[in-house]
Amino acid sequence: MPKRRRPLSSHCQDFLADGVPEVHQRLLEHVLANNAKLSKVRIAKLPYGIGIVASEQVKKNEEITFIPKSLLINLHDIQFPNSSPIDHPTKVHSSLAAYIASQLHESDNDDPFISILPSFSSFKSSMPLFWSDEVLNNCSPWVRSFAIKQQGKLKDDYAHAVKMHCERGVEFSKEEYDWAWAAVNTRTIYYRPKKWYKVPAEDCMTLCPFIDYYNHDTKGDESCTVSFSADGLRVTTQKAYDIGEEIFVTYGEYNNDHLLVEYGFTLPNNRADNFNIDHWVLPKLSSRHEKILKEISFHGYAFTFSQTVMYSGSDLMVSVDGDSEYLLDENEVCYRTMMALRLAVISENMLEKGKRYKDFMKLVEGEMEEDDYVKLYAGDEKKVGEILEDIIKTVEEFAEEKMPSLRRMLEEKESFDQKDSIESAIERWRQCIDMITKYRAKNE
Amino acid sequence: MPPKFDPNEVKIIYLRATGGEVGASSALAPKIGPLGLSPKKVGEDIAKATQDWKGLRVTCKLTIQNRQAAVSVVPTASSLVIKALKEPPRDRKKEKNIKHTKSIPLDEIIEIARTMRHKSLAKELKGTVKEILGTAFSVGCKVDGKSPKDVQEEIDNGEIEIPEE
Repeated sequence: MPKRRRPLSSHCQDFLADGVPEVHQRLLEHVLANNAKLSKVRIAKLPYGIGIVASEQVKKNEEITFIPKSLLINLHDIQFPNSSPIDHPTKVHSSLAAYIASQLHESDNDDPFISILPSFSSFKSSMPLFWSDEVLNNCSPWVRSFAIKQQGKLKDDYAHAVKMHCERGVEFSKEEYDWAWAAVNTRTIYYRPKKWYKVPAEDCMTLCPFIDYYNHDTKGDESCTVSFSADGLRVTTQKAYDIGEEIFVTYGEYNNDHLLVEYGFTLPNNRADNFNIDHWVLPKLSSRHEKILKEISFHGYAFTFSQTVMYSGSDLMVSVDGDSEYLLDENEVCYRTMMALRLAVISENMLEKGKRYKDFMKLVEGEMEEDDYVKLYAGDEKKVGEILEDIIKTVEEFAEEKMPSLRRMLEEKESFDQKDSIESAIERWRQCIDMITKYRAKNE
Repeated sequence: MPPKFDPNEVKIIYLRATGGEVGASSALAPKIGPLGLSPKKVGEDIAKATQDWKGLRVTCKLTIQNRQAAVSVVPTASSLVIKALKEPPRDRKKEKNIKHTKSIPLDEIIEIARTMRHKSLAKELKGTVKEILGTAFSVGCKVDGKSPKDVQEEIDNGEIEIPEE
């Protein structure tokens, strides 16, 4: 629990633009009273929500925000029952959510950080894990599998939190917990000072007031960097800003599907956007092809050896962890896809002995240059092109089929309360079709 | 992976390459192919990023996230020493067993020591300078016309003064 002192409230107007709701002023007073250092920044109301803008000219490599560790909310703020970690593993996500939910549950609690969190209804419409099955069925297979996976995680985490914390008199309802879990999922920042070297990476999450006002942008070389140390978190600029210009940070180079499922928004001009085509590539491979691709790390995870999570029960076959598998972006299909398809055109009885297969392995090892391979097996390459074209056409048809059914849902009266979620799903499909159109124009 | 700014999401690969040349992809392909990057394209990117180091072996750092590879050259003592020799660019394929026999002024060695200061564990700049002289000896070149070993001794004896910073 962060220590709270009486707010000072004198110079906090410097950091607020006009029209920002009062709750944010309270948070600002709270962080300033607890030794946070802000410089040349201001909380502002922007068309898509709250963000941070420059209040003066900001130079490159300037530290604009420092939040001391006393203000962070992480595993040190949660009280764990004294039990063996084997019976009750800590699960920081679950416990942080329990902590936030219990804070909300106390009706007289006026924690400024909790009061600025979005309402449950806004999470419900923006986060795919709360969307109805009808809407999810009309999303891309990857979004659907990821959302289903998150629903499972939320269920497990809730059971874990009830078992671990409710016994000790911590109270919260299921709805409060769902809300808090979503807040933790969308707002936590990676924090691992040297002292935490024993903490596993997935538990290195912290909630940080103020820094989560910064909005995300993909321009990794321009957006501000967020760095951590034992005493707190810092935001440093990587380029100069003019007065009133919005200041962005980069959560990481994520595509819009990832941003949509994890954080509940998509970026209109996302430089790192791409689309997962596993659902259409995998059926082109036989089990023997898949086995070979797994051995050479072109199937399943690259660089990790954990088990691939597959949702093959329904019509889905998509891995949702680690590195995405086969991707399409506006310029090209990824090298993994090309390699998978190059193997797919080698017939099964030629595998593991024929010259073509040996040359393919040489290409994998880099002993043969891609250009030489393409020249040598021009016929194969043509077939790969045809399969690829077929896949892209199917993806396009898939998207064009899902959009009208989503639009129909929008017109129905029963789904009025799902309006926002349906609109986000349609928006995402529109971006995908745009991407395919651009890809076609560039690869004609 | 919910936490934002997770450094584990970024993969960093170091490799040695000849500056300004598109090398064979055998070093690259097994490492970056599985990440979805085309070895050919990254090879070209590396050649572009190492234009200033034509014909020299340099260490490159690839920062990879979401199939975007950013290439940067990591300064190493040996490549900086060889660069300071200002040898004419040569074709590594035709010339084998290259010998570096020219001489470098000590001032340049000190300048190299300053760039490498952050990597060195030496207490003073003097120590780093001696480290760089050791590299110069292994490269085979001379410093101020003398053997780098002699220069090291002269530093130890106090005959040559090295600035603090």
